Amino acid sequence: MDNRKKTLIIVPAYQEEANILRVIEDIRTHLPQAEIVVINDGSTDQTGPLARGAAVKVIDLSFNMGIGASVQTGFKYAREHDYTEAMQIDGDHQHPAEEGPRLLQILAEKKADLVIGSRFIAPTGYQGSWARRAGNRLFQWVNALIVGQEIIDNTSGFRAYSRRAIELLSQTYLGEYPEPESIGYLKSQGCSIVEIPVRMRRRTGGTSSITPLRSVYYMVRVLTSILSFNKHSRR
Amino acid sequence: MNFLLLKVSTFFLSVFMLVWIFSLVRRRLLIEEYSFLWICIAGIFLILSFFHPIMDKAAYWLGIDYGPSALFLFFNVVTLFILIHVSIQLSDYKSKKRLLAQEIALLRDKVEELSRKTSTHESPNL
Repeated sequence: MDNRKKTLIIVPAYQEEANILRVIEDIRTHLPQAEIVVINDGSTDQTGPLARGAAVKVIDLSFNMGIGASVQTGFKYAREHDYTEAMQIDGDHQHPAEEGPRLLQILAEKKADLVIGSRFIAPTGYQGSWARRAGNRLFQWVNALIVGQEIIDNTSGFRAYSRRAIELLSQTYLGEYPEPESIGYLKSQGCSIVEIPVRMRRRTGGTSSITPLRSVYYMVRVLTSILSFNKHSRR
Repeated sequence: MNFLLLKVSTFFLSVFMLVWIFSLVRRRLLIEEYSFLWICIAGIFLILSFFHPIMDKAAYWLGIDYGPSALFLFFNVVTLFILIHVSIQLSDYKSKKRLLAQEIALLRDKVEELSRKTSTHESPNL
């Protein structure tokens, strides 16, 4: 067993006062060995104080910068504090922490750099909106073409990262919606990616960062990022 | 054709633009890096107001019958390039802003940690 193993759960949260305590409790129940950092993405509600009250580390961003900047802040924190692996669990309570140990287990067993919890590999109860599934199919084709590996759920944020992936993603500027783009980037850096089926919950409180109306805008932006991405690191 | 009116209005427009740009630089509302571009544009306006045959010649070479249309096209193209340039600058500032905000958040956390440790050290009698 690796004695140096240190796991960080990165929880990006924006206006998640309705969910944040449930998310923290969920993580503590199913991943008791892991440490938690909540990245409060400029929330104006009680997200930050509630998380602090639950005695977890909270990093407050001065203003709302989006999921990409929040998660990257988590990677920077993980890099600076020598965590050997990290997992992203969103603050909206859609990622069930009970699936977390399986992601970490695959990360260690397969020596992967990125393990994606996928909603679409097997029937897991999660459907998502029509637009979201169509967008995912598009990213699936484009990423398969570019990285040569078929990833079914490119937009899933429920992921586990190795130390190497933490270092790479903490230093590389990815767009506002980094999930699909990070696949191509990590692959271009020689990282191995594994995808496993997970169950996900439907959002029950707060507001989603990707509403159906913004889906097309989101798709165009992410496709632009994927297609124009080069291997050189950008800070 | 009222070319005199066109000449006079272009002349005054370019002079007004030059004065405005210099006053913006003087009041530090515009840095000289960007003023250069606008001074060049005002200069082109000024030259064309005196030598409008240049405009007609250029239009002729471009296969445009009406001189002012060529000028209109020219400034549209220039504006397009300026807008792209500004978008590049904005993207740069946005990524730098992101980097700074992240640094501030992480540094704030370090300061909080340090002050917590210091206050624990300073109150051993509690």
